[in-house]
Amino acid sequence: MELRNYATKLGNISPNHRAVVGYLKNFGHAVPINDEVRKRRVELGLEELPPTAFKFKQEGDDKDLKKIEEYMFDLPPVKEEKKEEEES
Amino acid sequence: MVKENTFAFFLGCIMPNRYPAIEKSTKFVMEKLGYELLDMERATCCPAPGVFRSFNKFDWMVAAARNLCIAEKLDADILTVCNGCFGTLQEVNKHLKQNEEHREMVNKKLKLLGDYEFKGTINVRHIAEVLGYEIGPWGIEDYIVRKVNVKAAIHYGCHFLKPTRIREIESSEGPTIIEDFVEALGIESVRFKEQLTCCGAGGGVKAYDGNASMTIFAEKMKNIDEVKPDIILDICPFCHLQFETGQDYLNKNKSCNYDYPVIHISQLVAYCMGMDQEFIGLQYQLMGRDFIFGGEELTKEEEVA
Repeated sequence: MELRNYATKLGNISPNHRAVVGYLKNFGHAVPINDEVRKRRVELGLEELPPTAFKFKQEGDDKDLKKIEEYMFDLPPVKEEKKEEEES
Repeated sequence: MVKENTFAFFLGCIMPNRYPAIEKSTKFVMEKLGYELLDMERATCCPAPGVFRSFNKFDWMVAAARNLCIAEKLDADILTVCNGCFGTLQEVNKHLKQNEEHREMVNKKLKLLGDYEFKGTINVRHIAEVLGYEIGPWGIEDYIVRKVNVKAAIHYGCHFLKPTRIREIESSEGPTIIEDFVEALGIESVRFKEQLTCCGAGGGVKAYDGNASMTIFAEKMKNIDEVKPDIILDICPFCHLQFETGQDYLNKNKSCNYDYPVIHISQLVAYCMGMDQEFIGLQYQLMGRDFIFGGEELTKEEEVA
């Protein structure tokens, strides 16, 4: 685990995994909701959005996710050579 | 002391955002069993152990502690239906209760996130363990209105029992907690090769390398298909997602022809306790959409007996 953490610190993290961190910061979830599931939830008699941090963000209260974005899982920028690989 | 017969219901990500019928079923089951489920407002991802712990173990603990604090404020133990959420929250909760130095470090960083302080006043429970040990096969008989009559390939997943020194539920080598419980619902468990291995989704594999994830999963499905169960029964929405989308992938890309309904334990128990199949939600799933649970309705005499 220490090695994995160290690799991340050096910027050796896959684009897919970077995206998952982005989802957490933007939505509070590693797997965000979509329109189809919102509809299903209502059909099942559940609230359209679960009462998690994302619901509050949708209602205009984004203080939780802003703090998570600012203070949590700060990843180093994509390395130049990786950037080139990803773009090619 | 936490509130009795009450749980802070930790939703996680995949259940509310992909399989809300599992959420619906869990609420139905727990309320019928006499528990109150409290909303954990402003909770986030647990965060998932395979990915976030690998990136930054300390921040993983802090984010988990933030969720634990929400439940502490509700004075209620956490209930989760997901192995990954259970893995993270149970492990961090236990660790921070025992390690004062880490608790202080985590609490210092928690202040940056809001009015949070980890106190260590609650426990974290998985629904399979609550059903299996607290209600038990002996107790569920009083609540069910019908039994199914199906053969199930039971998938335990990884984080429910492992690491055993932290989970302290039962042996991960030959567990029977789920088999013993669902037998009371009319399920016949069919054993299959390598039954206790990973589905191929966890450990950050599914997000990182879909091909590797599907290679592991294809082996799993081959072993399941050998014993021809009626359903695949799981206790984790992430495994559930893997079994659902994985069968679809193998059908489309590897000339397979799988159509095994994938059922979470909450869905099964809800059906046996009287929930309409419509709310079990198979119509929303990719596999086994036409599967009818059927089974035997219990008569009043049988219910009394």
